[in-house]
Amino acid sequence: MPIKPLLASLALLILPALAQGQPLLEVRGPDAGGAEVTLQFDEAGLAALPNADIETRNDYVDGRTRFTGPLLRDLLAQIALAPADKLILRAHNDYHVTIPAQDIFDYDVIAARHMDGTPMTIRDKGPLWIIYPMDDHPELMTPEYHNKLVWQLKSIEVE
Amino acid sequence: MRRLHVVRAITLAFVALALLGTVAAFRALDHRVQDLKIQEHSNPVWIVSQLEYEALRFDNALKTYLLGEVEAAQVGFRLDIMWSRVDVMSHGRHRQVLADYPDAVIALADIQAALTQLDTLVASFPPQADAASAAGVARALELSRGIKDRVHALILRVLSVKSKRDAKTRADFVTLAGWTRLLSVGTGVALSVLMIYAWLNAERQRRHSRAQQRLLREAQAASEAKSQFLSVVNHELRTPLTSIKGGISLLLGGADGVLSPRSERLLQIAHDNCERLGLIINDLLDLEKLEAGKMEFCFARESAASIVAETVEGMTQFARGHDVRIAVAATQGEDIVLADRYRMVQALTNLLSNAIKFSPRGGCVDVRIDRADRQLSIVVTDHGCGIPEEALGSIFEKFTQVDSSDKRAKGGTGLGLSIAKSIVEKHGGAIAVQSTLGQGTTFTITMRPALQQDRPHPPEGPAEAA
Repeated sequence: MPIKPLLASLALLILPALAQGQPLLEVRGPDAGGAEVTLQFDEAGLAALPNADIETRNDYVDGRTRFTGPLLRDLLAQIALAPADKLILRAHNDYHVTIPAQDIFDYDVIAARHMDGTPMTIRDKGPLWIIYPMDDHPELMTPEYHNKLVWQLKSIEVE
Repeated sequence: MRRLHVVRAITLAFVALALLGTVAAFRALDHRVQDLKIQEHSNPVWIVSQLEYEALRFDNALKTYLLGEVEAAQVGFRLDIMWSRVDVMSHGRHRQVLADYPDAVIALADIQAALTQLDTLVASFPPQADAASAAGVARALELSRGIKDRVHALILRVLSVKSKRDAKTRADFVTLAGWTRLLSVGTGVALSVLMIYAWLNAERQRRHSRAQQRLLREAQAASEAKSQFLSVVNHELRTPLTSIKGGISLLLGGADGVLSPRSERLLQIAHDNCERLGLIINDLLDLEKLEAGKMEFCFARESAASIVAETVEGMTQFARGHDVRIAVAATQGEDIVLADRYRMVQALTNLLSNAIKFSPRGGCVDVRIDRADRQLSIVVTDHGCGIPEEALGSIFEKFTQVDSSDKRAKGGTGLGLSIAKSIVEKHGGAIAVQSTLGQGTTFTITMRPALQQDRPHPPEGPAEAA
């Protein structure tokens, strides 16, 4: 593999990582008191939360793959969520989808940071990829849920 | 009848074929539906158009960078997004779908090559566009335009191929549906034919069974009539016979004084013949009673040896007349059976009589009692001319005698064995015959010995034959 593109990719990757304050994810919603809050998570912030391992297949990987990242319910722990709430997931490539908040409590939905132990770059669907545990819950293996596997996740907001 | 069978065979074959065909058609349909499901959320046109969108945005980023409106990082970011699109197209389901379009695979390879070149170029961009990087940006724009054109051409190609395939799939579906419909109708028709055939068959069987029952009733009626006829005729024969015998006996007894030797001889012959006639009538009557099930048996605990002894004693005169000896042998042990003494003696007498008649002069008839585990046998053996194998099967039938020329020589009604068999079977026993031509014949009566607790009533079923 040519060296220059590799260096370029590394530069693009490491820069945000080195600048520790660089946010990887933004979370917006009402807090317990009803006020609108914006939470920002950087690399360290994400690592500080309990990370879950999800091994699953889905339409975008070639086989059973191990994803590691914080659970959505932990990311949104400081947000007051009502059962009927909806969450808008936005991606860097302007894709967005709405999921029911109930999903993150019914299932171990994670914002995966690592794929098979390696941190994901934008080029391979990183830095964060919403992963549902589809192998563990066959009812999730539908086109509807595959559309919710938002990669290049930028923000989560409560509708 | 033959024609119906042919129709049935053809119909069955057709139904089987139709069913197989329907199953195959359904499986094919199912397969197509599965394909459809995959296509549903992985439309190749959509996949490629996503790439086109990102290619356009990258091109736009390059131009705005050139205009100084954005920084190089933005261009790099857009390049990353394009790479991620290619990455998505190279894994999982999208890869599977695109593999069906060889143009897409080639195009992707070309685009990756172009992107690799762009990597080098974009990495060298200063954060703000300046004159020094103009050449690099120009080259990048050129590559970008190349990618855009490539992707757009690919979309149109994929669209065209997909439309054709969709049309074909729809046509296939319609054809399959048509076939399935046809096969279903065919199966339905075949099943109807089968059902009609089955119903017709049942009708035929009902008619057949009714006919059979009618025949059965007729046969039973005929048998009844014959029995009654025999009974009546026998009685009508006996009465005059008794009268004749009576008269002759009186004359022989001297009712009309002393007879001349000639008269006495003639009367004696007449008397003997009356005796014989009487015996024949008795046999006929007995047989009729046995067949009608009207013969009454009086069972008691009897010794087989004593039955044999009584029979042999009664046959002594007859045997001497034929110059034949009777030898009796008995094994030690219990020989009590439940039997009607009179009737068993009768049966055994018939066997012995045959044995004596068919023994050579000076010969010997053996009577033996065998006691085995659960069975008692009375065996009568003669050393006469034997019975041919083909005659053995019908030996116990009425009016059957081996070799009609013999009949006149040996006498008898041909009823003796038939009566003996009936009597033995009514005792719950069995009778069997064995014979070798030129050496002799053996008749064996087998019965179940009476157990301590047996009461004098007719045994249940026949004992096993030897």
